[in-house]
Amino acid sequence: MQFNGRIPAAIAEKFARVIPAGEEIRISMASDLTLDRQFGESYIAVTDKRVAVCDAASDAFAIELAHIKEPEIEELFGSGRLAMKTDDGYRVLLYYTKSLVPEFAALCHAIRDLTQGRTPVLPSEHESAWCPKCGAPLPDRGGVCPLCLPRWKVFKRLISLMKPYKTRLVLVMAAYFVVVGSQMGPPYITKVIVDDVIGKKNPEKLPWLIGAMLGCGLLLLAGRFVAQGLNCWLAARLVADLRASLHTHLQGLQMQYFNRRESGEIVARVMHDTNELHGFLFEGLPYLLVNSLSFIAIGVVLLKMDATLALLVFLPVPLLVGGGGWFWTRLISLFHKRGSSMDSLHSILSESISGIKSVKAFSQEKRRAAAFASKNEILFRVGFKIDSTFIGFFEVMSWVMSLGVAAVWLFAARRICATPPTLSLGTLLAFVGYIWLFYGPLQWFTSIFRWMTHAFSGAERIFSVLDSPPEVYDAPDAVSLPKARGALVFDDVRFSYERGKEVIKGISFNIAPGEMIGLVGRSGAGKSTIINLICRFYESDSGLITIDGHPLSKLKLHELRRQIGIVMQEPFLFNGTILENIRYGSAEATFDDVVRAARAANAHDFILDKEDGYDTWIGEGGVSLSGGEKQRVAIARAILYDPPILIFDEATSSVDSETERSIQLAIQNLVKDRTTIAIAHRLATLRNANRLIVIDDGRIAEIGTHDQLLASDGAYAKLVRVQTELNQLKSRVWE
Amino acid sequence: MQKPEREFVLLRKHDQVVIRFADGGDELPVRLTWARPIYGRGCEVSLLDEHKHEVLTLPGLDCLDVESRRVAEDELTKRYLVARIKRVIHAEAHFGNRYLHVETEQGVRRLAMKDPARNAIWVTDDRLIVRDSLGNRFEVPSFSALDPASRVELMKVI
Repeated sequence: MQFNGRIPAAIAEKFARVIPAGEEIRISMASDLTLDRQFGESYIAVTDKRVAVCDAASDAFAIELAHIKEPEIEELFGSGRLAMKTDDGYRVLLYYTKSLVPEFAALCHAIRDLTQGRTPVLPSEHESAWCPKCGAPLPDRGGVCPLCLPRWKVFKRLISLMKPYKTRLVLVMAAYFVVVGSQMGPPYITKVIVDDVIGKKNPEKLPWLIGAMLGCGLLLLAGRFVAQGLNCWLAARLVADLRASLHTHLQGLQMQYFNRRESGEIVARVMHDTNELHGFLFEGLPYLLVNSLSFIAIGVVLLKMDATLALLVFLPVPLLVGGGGWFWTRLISLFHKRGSSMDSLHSILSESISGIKSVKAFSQEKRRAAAFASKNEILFRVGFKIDSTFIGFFEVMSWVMSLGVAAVWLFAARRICATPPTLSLGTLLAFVGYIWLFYGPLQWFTSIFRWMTHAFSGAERIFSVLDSPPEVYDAPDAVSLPKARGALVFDDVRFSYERGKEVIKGISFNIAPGEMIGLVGRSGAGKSTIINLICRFYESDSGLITIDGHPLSKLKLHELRRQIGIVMQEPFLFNGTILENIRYGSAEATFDDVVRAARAANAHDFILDKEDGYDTWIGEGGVSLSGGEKQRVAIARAILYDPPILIFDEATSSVDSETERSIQLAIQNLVKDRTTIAIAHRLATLRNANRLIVIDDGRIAEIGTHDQLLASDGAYAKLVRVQTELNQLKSRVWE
Repeated sequence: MQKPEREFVLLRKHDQVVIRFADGGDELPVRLTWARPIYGRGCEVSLLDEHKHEVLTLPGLDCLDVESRRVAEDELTKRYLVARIKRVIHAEAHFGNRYLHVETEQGVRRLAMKDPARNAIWVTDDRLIVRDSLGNRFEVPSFSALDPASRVELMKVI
């Protein structure tokens, strides 16, 4: 659906009845549901003064912008609706399917702008839910349409990646020509031996012919050896290059990219799609190349040797190709079913293992076993069907091929026995030799094309990652900021993760260098989003964020992030030793520096208490640290990083009181002379903050010191009261 | 689940449903939601206020008076768009994605679905709910009642 797309004349006429002449329609759009929620179309038109809607079956109605208090979109089950809170109530304007959620979110935003006297801004482009070429729904909004996948384009791009290795590529092609040529030799030599040596009792030529036959064998061996060796190298090289490019590119992508995808999907791009491509390049492509060349070459040779007999050989070809197509179409849906069954079985198995404690605790072993058995049975049935289909197909195809062979023998034998003979025995034997080379690959061609399509769709997905826009690390006019003082300013900042759904709604505040600020508010209020914006994990939609007077977008990204140290609620520790983890952001730091940081983070003692001290391996397969220990390693990492701005995002929320005290002491060591922003649900931990900023629904509700905010008896005082009551309740429950 | 003790009626004011308790108090705008929209549609209904807090949960629509029930049914129909599939015109699998061209009670629609293990839910042995890649919902109220060609098409991809 397009913003400001064409409005049908009948609809325009209806709009004209509720929109006064001379009032220009600024925005118009079609929904994909009629006003009574059938699949069809309804329309909305927005002028500077009103919003009007109608569809083919209903008259238009309009609401004046002046009466609109708040436009809103509501997500429903399987659809959404655009509604207006007006002076006299709530009015639903129209419904749309989930296919148009971003478009209507943007429209709602634009109507809000108009009601507030701002110029509405509509996105210049949007990610469509349908393929612009074939109109089919896209599996991923704005993604590639698998039905229109341009195979040739993908192939060209893959070939262009082989440019650095073009000598090898030429060699491999030459080697495959040798392979095809040497395969063609023996049947023809057989013909010559039978007709010229045995038939004419002329053994002088025999050593040469046997030599030629052996030579063909040797050439075939050498050709295959060279071709497969080179091909193996090229396929592995190309895929390794792609994997490396993918990983490098992924590291630089914007956070929005990761928000919209599950990590499993991204890992699949790097590992599964590249493996799929490797499989095709290593096995499928050479098969296709050699057999296509053989098919053409043998066809030509057969026609030249005896055109009538050649036509008999060609007779079963349509049956073989058509049968192969039918077979693969049938098999592919079975493969999909097997994949789904396998996934289900996988997930039950992995849950059974990872959730073993809960299974045992609730005595659910039998139920789990039954669930597994049921899915296992489905997998068995699909697997059996696939195997039996395979067996049946090969038997039938062998029979079809034998039809061709039988026809050749029937007609050729008659011609050999005729007086005078019109065909030699050698030609017949050569035909029989070629016939299997000719038929053999035919049944596989369809599968190879499907394999190619599959591998190329994987390649296309890889390319779509590589084509995704990375973060702008250094804008052309980027300013250098070697060491910040830590003055932070937010000026009317707005931000939404998804278009139209604002989570930060016009926030403004100043933080002085060295000041400690506590961000307070309910879950989902927008506190962590503010942190994300400071770190420039996301760009704000509007407004300005500055550090020491420099807009964030004008700073070199690496230098900006060098100014900020962040300790998260669940810090991520990498596979490696404690020493490596503390040193993560400061590779040059000496061991003494690490120890100093660990001491300041109150981590030194517990590290030394471990059997392997600083060499203790943590992460997968290593010693697991408690929540408090992880936090202190993360704090040591932040201390060593030595940033002028520090951020604590719920750094102590998941640890016990004693550990929290220890972490608080570590934090006190860390925050001296640094701008600090801390988010904490336990409000007591923010008492030392110079000021508290209370966030509510993406807006600033209050700013002030702990005492000021308590005295003003606003949102913060309410939060404190709730927390105090909760603590009292907890102590009563556990007493 | 029992019927709430407080007597109330549901009314429609403009395009909003409001609840009015018999023992007085203001009318409160409410949002009606099926507590179990997939496996238990037609069973428990929750009424939420504008802050998404539960006002009350009903064991079903039967416990409402005739007018309140009409209002509730109307609102729930509007809030839950699940197109009922009458015929499967064509279905195919392509690179792991499933494409369906279906005729529903709301009209004809083409949809793409990823991962049928997750997005095609057999609510009973005979009733199927499909969620397409964008979040739209479709329902086969009775698989056995579909015509044979539709059943064959559907089984190619589910």
